[in-house]
Amino acid sequence: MNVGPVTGPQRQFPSGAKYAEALQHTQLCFQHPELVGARPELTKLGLPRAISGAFASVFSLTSAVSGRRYAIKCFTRNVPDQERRYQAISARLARLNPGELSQPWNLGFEYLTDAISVGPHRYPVLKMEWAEAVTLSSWLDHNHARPSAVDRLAERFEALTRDLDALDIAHGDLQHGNLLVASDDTLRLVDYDGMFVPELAGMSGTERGHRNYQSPMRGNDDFGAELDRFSAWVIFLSLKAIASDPGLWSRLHEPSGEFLLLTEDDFKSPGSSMRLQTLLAHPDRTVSGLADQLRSLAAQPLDVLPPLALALPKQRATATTSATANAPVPPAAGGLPSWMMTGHVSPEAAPPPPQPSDAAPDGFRTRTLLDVAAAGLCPLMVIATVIICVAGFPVSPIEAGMPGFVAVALIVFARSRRAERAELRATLSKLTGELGRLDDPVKAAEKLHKERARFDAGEAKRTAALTKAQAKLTAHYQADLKEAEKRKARKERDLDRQIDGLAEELRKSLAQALTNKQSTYVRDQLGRQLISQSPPPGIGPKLASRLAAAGIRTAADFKGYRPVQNTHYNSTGAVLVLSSGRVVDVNGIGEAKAIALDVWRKRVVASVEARQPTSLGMSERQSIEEDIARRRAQLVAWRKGVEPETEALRVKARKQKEVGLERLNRENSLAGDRARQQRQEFAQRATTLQQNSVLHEALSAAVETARLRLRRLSLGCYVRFLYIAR
Amino acid sequence: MPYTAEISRSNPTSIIFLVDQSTSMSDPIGGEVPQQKADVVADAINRLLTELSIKCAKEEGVRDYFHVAVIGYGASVGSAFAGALAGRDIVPLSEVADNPARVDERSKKVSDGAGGLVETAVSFPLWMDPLAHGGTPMNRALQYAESLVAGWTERYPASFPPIVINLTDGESTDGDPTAAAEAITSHATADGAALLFNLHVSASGGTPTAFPDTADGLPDSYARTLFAMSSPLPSHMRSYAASQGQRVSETTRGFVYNADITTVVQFLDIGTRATELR
Repeated sequence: MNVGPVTGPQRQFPSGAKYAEALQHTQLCFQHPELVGARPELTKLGLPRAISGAFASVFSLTSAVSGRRYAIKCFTRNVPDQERRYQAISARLARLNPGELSQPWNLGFEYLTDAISVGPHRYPVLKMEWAEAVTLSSWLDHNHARPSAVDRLAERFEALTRDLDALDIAHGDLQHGNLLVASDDTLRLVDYDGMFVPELAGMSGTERGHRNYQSPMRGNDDFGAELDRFSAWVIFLSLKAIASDPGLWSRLHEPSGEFLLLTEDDFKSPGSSMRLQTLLAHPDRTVSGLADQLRSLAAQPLDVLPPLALALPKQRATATTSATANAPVPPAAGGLPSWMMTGHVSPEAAPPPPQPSDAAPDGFRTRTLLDVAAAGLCPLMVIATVIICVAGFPVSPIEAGMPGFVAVALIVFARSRRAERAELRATLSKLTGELGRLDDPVKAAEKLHKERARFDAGEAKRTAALTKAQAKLTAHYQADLKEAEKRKARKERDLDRQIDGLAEELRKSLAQALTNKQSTYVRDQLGRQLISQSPPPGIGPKLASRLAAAGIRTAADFKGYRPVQNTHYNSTGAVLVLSSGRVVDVNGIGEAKAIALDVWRKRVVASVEARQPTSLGMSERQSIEEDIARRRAQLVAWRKGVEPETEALRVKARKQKEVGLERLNRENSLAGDRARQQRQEFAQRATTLQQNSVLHEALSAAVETARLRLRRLSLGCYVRFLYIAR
Repeated sequence: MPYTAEISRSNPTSIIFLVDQSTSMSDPIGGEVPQQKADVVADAINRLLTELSIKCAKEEGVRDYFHVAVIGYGASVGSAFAGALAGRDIVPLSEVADNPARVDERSKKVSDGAGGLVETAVSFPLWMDPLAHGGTPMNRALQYAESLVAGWTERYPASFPPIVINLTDGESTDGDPTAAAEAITSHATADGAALLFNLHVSASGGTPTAFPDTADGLPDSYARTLFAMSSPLPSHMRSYAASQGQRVSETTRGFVYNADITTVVQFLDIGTRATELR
């Protein structure tokens, strides 16, 4: 699926660096009379200095004409309906009556179309007054230890939100970077990109604001007069908390953190938020009350959030009481604003208000009847003891000391009834409980480290095993290839030898065929030589017929004779040897006749052999040659087949290797995914660990503080409190 | 969901550039006026470092949203920073911004506002110089990057994971770089695995391809290997690339083949534009 821009390509704006380059020549890039030739503030490299945000880079320029200093905002990203928005905002702000504002928080600006040339095109800029002020976060860096100044700033901030509320204006991105503090400690509001003014009603928002200041319920399109409500509560709570307890700035704020005391995560999951818990458990009721409100606001839709001002009468009451110590304050709402008593928060959520809130919770507060009684009775007891001793009543020392003991017991009893102690004890046990539930971060870190080391070792082993398995597959493949080559060479050699031998075989076959042909001829011719037709000398028809009876009719029928010794007559006879090798004794054939027969036969043989054929016939030769050619063709075909056969083996081996490698890769990629997940999990644990360790530290510090405070509620302090109320 | 970590000073991210400085980088690359690949790449990195510095500039100075390394590989493998940062690997952006090797004056034609052009000198900070000498030990370079990524992910376990951007003409001379690439992307923070993007500045034939989702149509094995090594673009980078007119899909990878000069700069912009900075 192709994911493309829904509304087609947007207008492209130059980057911050492109603007910085253009601003090296302000006499060329500007035509506006105030800006042409203006002097940009430079970095130490001599390049125009920028202050960048997500949508724009701002440059400081001093006009060559008027000498006035401006902030020039150059846009790096397209904002829909930009010009219309700025014109509407500019017009609305211009109509403000300075006399009706709590402080001069608005800055003048002008939207200039086509004001700056960058490359071949011209782009709009926003020309703003330069505000000599510092951001809220850097002001707090320097001033957080001045509670009264911070408290005053909180009041001013509340007044600013009241101004905005009355005018139906929302800034859209209230945060530490857009709230500036001028040298007289009044606030300035800058960056009006996301501002809502009534004239823009019905349009959608262009931004969502800083994530560390926004309600989890704020949506992309939210755009209306109530946009700032949640951020206002976040900022007000932070300022009040720092005013009450400057140490919170170093405990909850990170030196380079893009937030005051609370972050997005704290609003999203208040239950697991160390920061919010710290504020909720804070001994100052104003702080814990505001924190509790914020916790409930985070879960509500933007449009039902109350403006900061609505909650303020009571907040103001508590805030002012902190200045006038011990003034009684109606405790009924427990620091909660009236709107919160209508069911947004369950009664359990609001801690019971045992005492009127006081910004300085150390030590004892208002005296009760019991305290007054103890204060009155104790001196009487002491006086009684003195009188008893001085007047010399006859009592034992124990009896004399009785009133003193009673006085001490009374004080101890009265102190034990003080709510401050109970409250601190409860806080202490809650904190200790929370601390106990946390794992020791050092041990957890050690465990994580060990697990990580084990995992890394396992991974190293797995990687090594993979390399080994890959090498084994490759080695196997190479062995298969080698074997295939060997087999091929052997076969080819064998076939070549057979092919080479064919010529010799042809020669032999031809010779053999000739020999066969000749012997056939001879045998045939001999068979035609009948003894009876041309008998050798001494063989008459009688003997011939006797010979015929013995199977010897032609020269072919016998092949010689063998002399035999006739033992009966001591004479020499002969037997004839038949072609089959059998011997026959023919009556009347003695040695002489046998010799004659043999000589005859030899003569016949010689004469036949002289006539026998000396060469093969054409067809006989052809048939033999064809036979050999057929065999050659077969051998050549076999030899040709050797290469494809080998190739098939190679392919098979390669396939085997590939399948193996694929399997290894699959396994490896699965293991890699698992390893990645595992590493991610380790990283997550490390993050949690960092947070826990901060939480652990914060809780330990809180426990320590609570203990210290408990110790401060000593008997001596109590006595002092009874008589001098301090 | 991975790749959504906010980039802030306490949770920065790191960008590690790997710059091919082999002899073949002295070959020309297309465009109206042909330039050496090494010049184009060095220019793009220098421009990008300027851009990052300005993007992260706030009232008090440049914020360390990014920690940057520029590693060259050619005759040797190591830091390609020149000047005061020479020999350093991962450097916080504020230090980078303050310590270019030098600031060059370059002449440039600028519109005079009346339809004409005038020649002006503009300052151009330089952190690295072009170099083209030796082989292409891509494996060693990736292994070097892996060691940086490993150390960094352990130090910043909650951060947006490191982004490694490899600019090369493709031909590794010390073996198949796949395993070394995998080793880089096996490191992860809680927000996801490290990202590896590849920019193949091949000027040899083949259709230029940006952010493809398959290796089909890539002309040679080097390009295919580099494609396979590249991480898929996380969703915010995908939508940013789309808003820049690139065609992207769900499985688009951080890979560009046969890039021209403009694409190199645009690719770096997309590859280094992580989630919103705070």
